[in-house]
Amino acid sequence: MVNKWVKRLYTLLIFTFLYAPIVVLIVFSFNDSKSTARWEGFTLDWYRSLFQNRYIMKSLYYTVLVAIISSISATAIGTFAAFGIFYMRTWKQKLVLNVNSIPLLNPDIVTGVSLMTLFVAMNMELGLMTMIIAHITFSVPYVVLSVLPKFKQMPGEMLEAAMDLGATPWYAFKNVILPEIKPGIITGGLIAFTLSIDDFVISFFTTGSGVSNLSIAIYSMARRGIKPEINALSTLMFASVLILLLIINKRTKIEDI
Amino acid sequence: MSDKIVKGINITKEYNGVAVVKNIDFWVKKNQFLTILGPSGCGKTTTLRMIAGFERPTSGTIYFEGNDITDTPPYLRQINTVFQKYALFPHMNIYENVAFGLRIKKNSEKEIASKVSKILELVNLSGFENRKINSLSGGQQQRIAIARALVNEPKVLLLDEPLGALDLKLRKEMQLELKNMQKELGITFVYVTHDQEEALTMSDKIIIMNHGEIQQIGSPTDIYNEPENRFVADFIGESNIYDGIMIKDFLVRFADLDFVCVDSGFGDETLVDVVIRPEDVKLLGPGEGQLNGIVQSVVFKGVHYEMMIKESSREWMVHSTDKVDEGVTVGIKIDPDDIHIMEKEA
Repeated sequence: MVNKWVKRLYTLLIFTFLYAPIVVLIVFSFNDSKSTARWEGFTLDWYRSLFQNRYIMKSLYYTVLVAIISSISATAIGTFAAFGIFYMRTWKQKLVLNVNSIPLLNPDIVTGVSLMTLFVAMNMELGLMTMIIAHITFSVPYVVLSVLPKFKQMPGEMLEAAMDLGATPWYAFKNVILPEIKPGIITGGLIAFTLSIDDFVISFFTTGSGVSNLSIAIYSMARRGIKPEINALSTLMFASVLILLLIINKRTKIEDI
Repeated sequence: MSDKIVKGINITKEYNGVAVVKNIDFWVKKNQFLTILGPSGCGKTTTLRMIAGFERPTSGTIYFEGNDITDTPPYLRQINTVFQKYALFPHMNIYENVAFGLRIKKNSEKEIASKVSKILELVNLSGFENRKINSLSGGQQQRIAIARALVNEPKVLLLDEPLGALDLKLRKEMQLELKNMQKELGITFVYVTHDQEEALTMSDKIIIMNHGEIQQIGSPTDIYNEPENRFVADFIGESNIYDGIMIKDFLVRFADLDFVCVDSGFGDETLVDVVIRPEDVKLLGPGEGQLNGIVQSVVFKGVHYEMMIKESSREWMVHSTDKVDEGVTVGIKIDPDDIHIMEKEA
């Protein structure tokens, strides 16, 4: 009995520790006061002023634009990469897969700084374009990892069977391979989209003046003091990422069945 | 030669410098049922995949109706394949699977519908059009794989161990059905298997391969009765193989005795392998045959008894419908035309 209560208490403590900051953030985004310490009644004012703030709205536009373009591109690149990797010989496949997973483990700050260095070295002006390229770069490995298992689950010799029946490689890919790996592609795309919305560090280093996404906007606003608008904006970002994650999780579960 | 529909000349296939198929020549005649037979790793599937176009020979040329198709991609060859693991498309129903090739060839919907229903009737799966692939048994999936290939009316159908995953009874039924289909449709079949019985039952011609080389090409009866070397004799059915010396034409010495035989042309005093099929050994009373031996073991095999007989330092495998008990001394008799002589391999 005691053991059971200890377990529950422990779990509760961990979750409190993990979620307390977010709960506080959400609660104070509805606080009818500039104070971030005292509750003075419920209001939606901060959300209202958020949508009237041109800087924030512009950042939202960039965030969504970058997320859409980069997730679609990364999904296409990652899918074809997975296609190629699947049909490689074993040792080459292992090599490429390891190369693919290095960026996943690489600290964001290193990825960000190195991409910035590269863009500068290539004489590219930092801005929207470089940020999109950076987002594609860090999303591709995730798409590869989500699509590749679908290839592996595919019954053997499907591509050959299709070509044997007269399909060109492209027709076979479109009509036989693609329907089989579609769930992996959609999941990969959603992950890429989430990562893009979520990203601060890499974006911070690869964007130029005038182009900032929401994370950067929050950062620069926070430097001038925490305003309740930031709480409201963070709450909205948290909610949208949470929803995306729930969708991804649900998809993965359905696929497992 | 117009009746040779597929022909391979000097075909070699290497993977990373290791030859899997070594400089082989083969051909398939129109409407023939050709089987490539051999143990696993002998290069038979690689040979089939080169005919289909999935592999490109390292060297050599493949001809189809007289035209060089060595570099023709699989989708431009008038050849279809039945895969060992079926390779059906799981996201399509039966109808769409079978119609796949017809759609690519831009048949009208009406034509497709009539061809699909006709071919499903041929494989005894009428009414299965809307079923899902994974709702079918292994045998049914195999029939769909055959239908999906045959509906395109290929000139040559390649089959890669298509019955390997089926149980014995179903396999026997399918062997007969495949043979009937081949005769009825007049399509050339190239069939790959490691099952010698399957090969003997169905084929017009058999190519026996081992270690990437062709061991023998011939009709099932030729290959069974006149194996060209020790490998073929051993691989096809059960055999007693002994070292012998060809004394002169029509006289061979083995088992410390001279035997009259029907073979000639090996040259005098040539070392040879002597093959005697277990069913060709006749058991008589002691002293009534050429040799005497003692029965070591008796196993009932259904149609016949399999007996191992010890004679001097040699063992003889004998198949007979008459049982002789263990420990009994018997006479062994071999008729001249049951002795098969093969040249010894270098």
